[in-house]
Amino acid sequence: MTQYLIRRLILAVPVLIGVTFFAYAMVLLTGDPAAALAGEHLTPEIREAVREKLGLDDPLPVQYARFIGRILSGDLGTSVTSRIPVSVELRLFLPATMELAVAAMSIAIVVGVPLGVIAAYRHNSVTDLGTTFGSLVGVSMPIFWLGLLMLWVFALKLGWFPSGGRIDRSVDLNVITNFYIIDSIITLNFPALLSSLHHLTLPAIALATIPTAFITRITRSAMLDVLGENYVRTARAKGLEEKSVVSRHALKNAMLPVITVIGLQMGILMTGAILTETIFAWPGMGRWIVNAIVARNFPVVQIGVLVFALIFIVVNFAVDVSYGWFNPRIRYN
Amino acid sequence: MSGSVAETELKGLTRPGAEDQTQAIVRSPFRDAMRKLFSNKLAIVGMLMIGTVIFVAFAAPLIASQHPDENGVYSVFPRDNKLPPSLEHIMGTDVIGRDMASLIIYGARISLLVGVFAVSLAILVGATLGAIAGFAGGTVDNVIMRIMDIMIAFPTILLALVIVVILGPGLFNAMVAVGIVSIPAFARITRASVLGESGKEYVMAARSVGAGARRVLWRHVMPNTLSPLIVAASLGIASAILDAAALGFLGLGAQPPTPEWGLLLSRNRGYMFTSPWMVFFPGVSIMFLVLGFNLLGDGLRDALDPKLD
Repeated sequence: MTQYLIRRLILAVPVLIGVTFFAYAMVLLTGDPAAALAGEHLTPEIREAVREKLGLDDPLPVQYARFIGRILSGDLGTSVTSRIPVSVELRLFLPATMELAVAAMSIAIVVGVPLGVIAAYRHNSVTDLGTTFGSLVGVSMPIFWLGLLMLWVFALKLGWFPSGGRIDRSVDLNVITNFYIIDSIITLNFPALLSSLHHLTLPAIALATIPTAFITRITRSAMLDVLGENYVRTARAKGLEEKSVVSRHALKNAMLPVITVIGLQMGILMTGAILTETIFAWPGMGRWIVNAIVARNFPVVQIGVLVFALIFIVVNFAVDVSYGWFNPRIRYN
Repeated sequence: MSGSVAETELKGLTRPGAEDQTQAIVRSPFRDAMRKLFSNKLAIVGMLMIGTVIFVAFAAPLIASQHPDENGVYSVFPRDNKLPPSLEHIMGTDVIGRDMASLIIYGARISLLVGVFAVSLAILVGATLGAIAGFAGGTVDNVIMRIMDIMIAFPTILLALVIVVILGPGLFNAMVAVGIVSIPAFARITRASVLGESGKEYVMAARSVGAGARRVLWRHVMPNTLSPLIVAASLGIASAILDAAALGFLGLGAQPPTPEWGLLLSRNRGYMFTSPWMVFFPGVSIMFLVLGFNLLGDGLRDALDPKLD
């Protein structure tokens, strides 16, 4: 196992280098950072001075090495538009996005897995057909449209939920980790917990639609495979309760592809977060990066893109490693 | 299935002069797949949905009540702005008085084009790379697939956004960007099936009679990797349309006055609460077409996957 972990980590290194390199180089292609920095005061002299200062005339590998060196020493640069260090903004926005993503994924798992199990169990029934159709509708919905509809119905017409933000302005919260849920729990701030959950609900449900649909579909097909296996028949034959057969024997074995999809969904979830945050005025990474891309705020784009990619790599690494736990027959060699 | 074929065979033999019955004995995988596809209710619904949009796209000049001029600009009727759906304007009108239904009808052309173009680009590049990687193996395989890994690590919309900023906003560049971000998926699928096919006897047979590597790959292996590619293409068109609409929504895809559905939605977003039809109909249209391709892709997967027999 340790050996596998080490090998897997070594394999991840080229991808990590590639990802960081792309994050750095891609952004340089989107426009001259000197022009972005100098703004309207751009003269050839200023431009040269800025390029000199940023080392933009050095060979790309040299620039890249310097970029990595800077990141490793904890200096993520400064936002061009707000003049705030990127690390400070990141500490503000990353927890917001993670809170949203974790909430959405939890909803997706809690809803998707049981739906998939029921659909598989009642294979070819109306329930099954309905679930298949429903999940296809779920993956076909433009998330920005769904978000707007939800705002219209639940925020405007019914007034059940707020239309944006993470917490009511009137609620005081002692921010420690910037995860508002965690912060309000550790400070035992009940009104803040209620208010942040209240704000989280709509965007989390909107963001959860696509992963829910995917998880339902994959759970269904994995369960269909497993329910026909001999060990399931054995479990039934030895007189186990049906509930136990399905949940203990079948489901656990069907979880492997489901876990894989959950890992892959993290990437799609991040994509969804970018759109969801725009609709629900959620102060997270997605909105931050989109605004930065439009404003050519290159230090933010570099770090933001990099962080998104890193999250994806880490999650998939965790997924790979968790295979062994779900299926001990998998040997890491 | 085998039972019914045997029966037909028997009948064909016992009933003299029934030549047409022999037709049923010939089982081509393609015909089997088609029969399966056409017995799948959801897939038929999907095909009907796509068919409707294709019809609307082609017949746009005949069914739309307002038409763009030769520069693609629609006439503006400020006095008719924000009219709710009525018999005259079945989807209402937008902020500057254009008929929403007409915009959506012409928009169908754009979304279809985006989906087909982006996926064609992705297949052309992705399938070629995947085939080469799977067939060549070794360092070539490693280099190609690690690059694909890197591309996959970036959220698609983010990668597409950066590409659009590099190329400049616009419908064509958005299509290219969406195509590029779909490349890794097709590369992976093609590589996996090429790897699977390469070890089979017919490949060895082809090699042993002296076929060169290129001939073996393109004439023998690739045709057998088509099924997963067809499925992926249908599902890929669906997500390409969604991604392009998202780019349009974020203002970096199609530019006004193009009636691209995502862009229409985003331009009318501010009037969501007072004139919801302006946002509702473009979104429903996107969902309708995307759902059509997803249903078809799903049906194709069931029909083409021999494992499900």
